Amino acid sequence: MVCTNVEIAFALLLVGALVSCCMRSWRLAGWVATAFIGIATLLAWNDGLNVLLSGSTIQGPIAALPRFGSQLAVTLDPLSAGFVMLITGVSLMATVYSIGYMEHYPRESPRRFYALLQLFIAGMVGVVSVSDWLFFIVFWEVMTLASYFLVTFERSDPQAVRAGFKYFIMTHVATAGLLITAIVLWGNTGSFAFEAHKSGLSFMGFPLRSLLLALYLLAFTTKAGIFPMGDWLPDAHPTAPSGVSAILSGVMIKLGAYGVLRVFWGMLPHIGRQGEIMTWGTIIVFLGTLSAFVGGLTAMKENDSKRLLAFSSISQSGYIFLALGIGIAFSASAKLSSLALLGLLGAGFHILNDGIYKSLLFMNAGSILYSTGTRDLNKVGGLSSVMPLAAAAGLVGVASLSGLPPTNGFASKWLIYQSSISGGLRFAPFVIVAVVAFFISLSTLAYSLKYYNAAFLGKPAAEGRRPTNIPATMTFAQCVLALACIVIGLAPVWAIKPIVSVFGASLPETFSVGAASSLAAIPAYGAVPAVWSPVALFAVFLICFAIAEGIRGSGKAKTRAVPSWYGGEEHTDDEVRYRAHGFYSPFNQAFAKVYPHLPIPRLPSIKRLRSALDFDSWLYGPLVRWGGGLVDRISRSHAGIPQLYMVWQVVGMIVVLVLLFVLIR
Amino acid sequence: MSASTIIVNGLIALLLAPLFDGVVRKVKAIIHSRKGPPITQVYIDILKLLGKEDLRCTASAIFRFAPAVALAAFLVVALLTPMGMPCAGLPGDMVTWIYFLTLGAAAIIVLAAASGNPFAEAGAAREIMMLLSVEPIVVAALITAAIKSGSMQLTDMTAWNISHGPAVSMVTAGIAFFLALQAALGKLPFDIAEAESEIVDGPLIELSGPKLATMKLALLIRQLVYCFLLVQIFIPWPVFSLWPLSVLAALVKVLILFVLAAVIEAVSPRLRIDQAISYTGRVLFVALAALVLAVIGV
Repeated sequence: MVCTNVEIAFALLLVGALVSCCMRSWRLAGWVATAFIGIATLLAWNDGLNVLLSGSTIQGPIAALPRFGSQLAVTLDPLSAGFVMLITGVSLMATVYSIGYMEHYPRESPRRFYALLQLFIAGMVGVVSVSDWLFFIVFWEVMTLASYFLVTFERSDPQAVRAGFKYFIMTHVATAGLLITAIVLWGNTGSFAFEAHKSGLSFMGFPLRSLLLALYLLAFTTKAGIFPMGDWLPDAHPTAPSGVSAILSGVMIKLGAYGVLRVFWGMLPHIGRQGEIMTWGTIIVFLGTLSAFVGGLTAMKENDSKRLLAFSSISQSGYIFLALGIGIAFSASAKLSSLALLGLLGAGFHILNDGIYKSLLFMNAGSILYSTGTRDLNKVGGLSSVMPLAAAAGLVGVASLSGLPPTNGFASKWLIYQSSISGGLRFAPFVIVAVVAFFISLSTLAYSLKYYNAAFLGKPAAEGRRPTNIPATMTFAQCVLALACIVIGLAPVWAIKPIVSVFGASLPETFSVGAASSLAAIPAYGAVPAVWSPVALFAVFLICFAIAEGIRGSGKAKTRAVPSWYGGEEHTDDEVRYRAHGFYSPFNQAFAKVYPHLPIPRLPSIKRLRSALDFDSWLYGPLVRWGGGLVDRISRSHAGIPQLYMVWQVVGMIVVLVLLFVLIR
Repeated sequence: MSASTIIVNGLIALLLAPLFDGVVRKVKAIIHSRKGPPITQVYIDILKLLGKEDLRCTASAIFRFAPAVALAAFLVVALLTPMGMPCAGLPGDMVTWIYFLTLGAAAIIVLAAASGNPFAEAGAAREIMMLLSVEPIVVAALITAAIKSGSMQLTDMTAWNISHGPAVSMVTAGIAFFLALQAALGKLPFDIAEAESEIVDGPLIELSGPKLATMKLALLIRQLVYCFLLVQIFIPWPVFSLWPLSVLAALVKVLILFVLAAVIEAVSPRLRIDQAISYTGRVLFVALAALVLAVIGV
């Protein structure tokens, strides 16, 4: 039997998890895990690139369960291939980062971390590379459980345990929906295969089909952190160790988008009527817009570095769903197929970009935590002198998150705006989506600069412990991702071409790629004319920068170092430090109640469950007490007084006589 | 992409931006019954500052390079802005226009934070809030134009307005843009981010000499591109077939806008940031109304 590379990669991750179980030293365990994940990444990228460049599908059956109509097989179509590459690439960087970062936890055992981490990655690879709902759910659960244990890695922190519990409950309620759809469709078709469920859905009546689609949407939006359902995210992501937060935000929540693509793009357009597809697309667009809006505005208020980024993940997930919804809404119409492609392309590209810069930023926030021991942005400052390379990488990440050219964040936002405005010309409500997207993009700039300014710039903070430098592995991982941000930003065509092939099309259907990799939308296919040449614009920007520097240096002015000027008064650095909580307070007051945050449950239900399982407390204990009391009462009758015994004898005799009398009659 | 547009736009931005500010100062002086500085005073200031001592309060590389980044970003915006030339200067559309403008603003904000001065950081936070309240209006106006013209390229919007005449939605969008212009220019009553008498020039407080000159020029170019965008997309008339004439007409229209802005500036007190936000919030409704009008096709 010939194994596909993805199978070998998957097996390697499982073996790596087992090997990690025998490790005692953090450092050794980290490097061994990196080696396993590194080789798995190489293998997965080999397959992934093959599939993406050829547009073919790799099949690799492993085992079949004919009784259940289910088959475990690797099915690597271009969509899966793209996700496998993103998962393994980002996870590898996060693992490299963790080698240094996990020295943070000398008292914990590395077994608990690296074994679960590799299991987590294996689960994600499994989710995207099968085409069978049974195994999809199995791997989905492996991923969810492994990430649950990683979120609650700091067992001693009650906050982490509660956040993990919330995550566990919310995602499992959603997974139950997935399970129900799978079972209902299995009952109809006798198979768990994606293809069979596609036809199963098409033969179904409209009400039941809508119900099942709603359950799918619930499951996937919960995982993606979309606003009302994604409430677990701002609690769970900050408490996980930073390397894991990077994978959670960078990759795992994108699997929600993967699921939506599989169902609403892969299955729905072939069965539904145009109006039905349009409705589902519009629902997804508005969920996404709401999520982008709420997440973006809430992040502006946060003073906890990792919580701020978690809200930003909600917001960016919203961007992805917004573009995805536009793509889905127009996917049924043959005339507007290019417009649909534009939306899907924007979503796919944003998944890639958000995966890169969000994991970079979580690693960056983790560096702050490692260095200063706090996530509170009020208590840090001036870290760029302590860790200059991480500060530079963070600046790239922040620029990318807020979509500033020439980074990759701009590239995907350009596509998203274009698709939302073009979509607005066809279906008016999408216009408002474009306005909200622009506004939230500015609020993204506001919160990301708040994060960066408070942590890396300004005066060093006096409170807390003295910041330490961070290990080289942490810096390395961040620099690699920052470089990826810039390379993709300057040459988006390299990323767009394979993503277009993911959606089963080729580039010229939407864009004409001109000189210097300039992109121009072709109006004939439903998109509005727009043009953007990243390389030419960046070159012009560099020339302008040279001119500006020339102007600045033309006077040959002397330079002199001076202290900061505080209006003529003398202050210590700490007295005049502008703290994070001071940012944007008028604006935050205007939008104070935008995120109705559910409190983390205090686990009353767990207590009840525990007491229900504790037979001592409600069965054995009372039984023993009752028996003991009975015996006590009997023993009390033996008081040692002869008269009492005689009374008992007389009473007994009367009872016996009465009985005999009754029986004989 | 046309070289002549790049050259003309670049020269207008670099050489004429200080002139408009000189006119503004003269107009304000006349309203105040002062004699006022000569119109060339801003050139003289910038040239003088270029030779002055460069005081640096921090060794941060961001502090060193941010003024030039801001100037470069606004220059790129100027090259993307229609200034009366018949074709676009650079391969870019309204999204690139907005984001390069944002890049320049981000450079100013990061510079302020890098200086570590609390006045600067307070100014930076206000700068972002002003950006957050003004940009949506500009964006809504531009999207209105994009929907009417069916294109995201700024030159196409101008061309559509010239050929299809004034439309109700475009005029409404233009009015919204004009109402937000004073805030976009950062002039009284909206000079909240700089607020000389309150937070001592805000983000610019620690800048001196050549850096201050660079930043001043950058801010003047930003004012100029907002004005050009307004007049060229929403009021593109009169139209001439000869491009020097249309550039001249655009310059005259921008000059009128600046004079109006100067008059408003001379007679208004400064608003607090929350008052400014509630004002721009109301203007945003006008812009959204324009958008709705455009969608229903008037």
